Amino acid sequence: MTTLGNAVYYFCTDFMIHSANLLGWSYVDINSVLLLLVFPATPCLLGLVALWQQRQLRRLRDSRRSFEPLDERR
Amino acid sequence: MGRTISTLKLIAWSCAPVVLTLVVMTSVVSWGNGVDQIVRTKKPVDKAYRNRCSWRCHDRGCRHEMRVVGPPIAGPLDRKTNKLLGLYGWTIASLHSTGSYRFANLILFCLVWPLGTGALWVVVVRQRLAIRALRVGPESESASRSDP
Repeated sequence: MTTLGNAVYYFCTDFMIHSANLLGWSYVDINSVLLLLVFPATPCLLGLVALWQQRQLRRLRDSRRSFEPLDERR
Repeated sequence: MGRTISTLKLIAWSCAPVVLTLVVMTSVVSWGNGVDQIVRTKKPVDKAYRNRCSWRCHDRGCRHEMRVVGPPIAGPLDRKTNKLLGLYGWTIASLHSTGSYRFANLILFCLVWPLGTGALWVVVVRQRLAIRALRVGPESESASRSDP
């Protein structure tokens, strides 16, 4: 388990170092962007999208329900 | 049949970010380490380089900071003015204060965050598919009804 954890940690750190080199940024830059921007922003954005979708779903279901009696009459 | 297809769509869309992330990460690591060094079992001992970051930046602190402030390549954060760097330092210090920096990193960024974000992503995909089904449903029904 420790070996797996270490392997994952080395893999992730290698990714951070090499992506920093690929982008021409420093290790601190890429870490800052990921830790302070990407990691907090992604769940926030997804949460907002989920809330917006919930409202849309409710509206669609309500509009569908309002057509149901008409459908039955036909 | 329709339910099977929507389940398959849900699985495919849910797995897509995981696969994409793994492909991108593996490509970047293999670019940097070489294909035979994608998975390491021992911590590498790296030397410092003038033009690029290495494990030394991770172990002893990055000395490439000045590169961001001046040319040739400006990074995303201006170290002298940006308050985000203070927050970054605080985050790293908090991770160190847990006792095991590595373990805290793994738990937070390889388990809690991906699981939480993944769960949210699945919710978004499910709702997207439901919205599509609701939008397509009545139209197709009315279209079939209007057919002579």
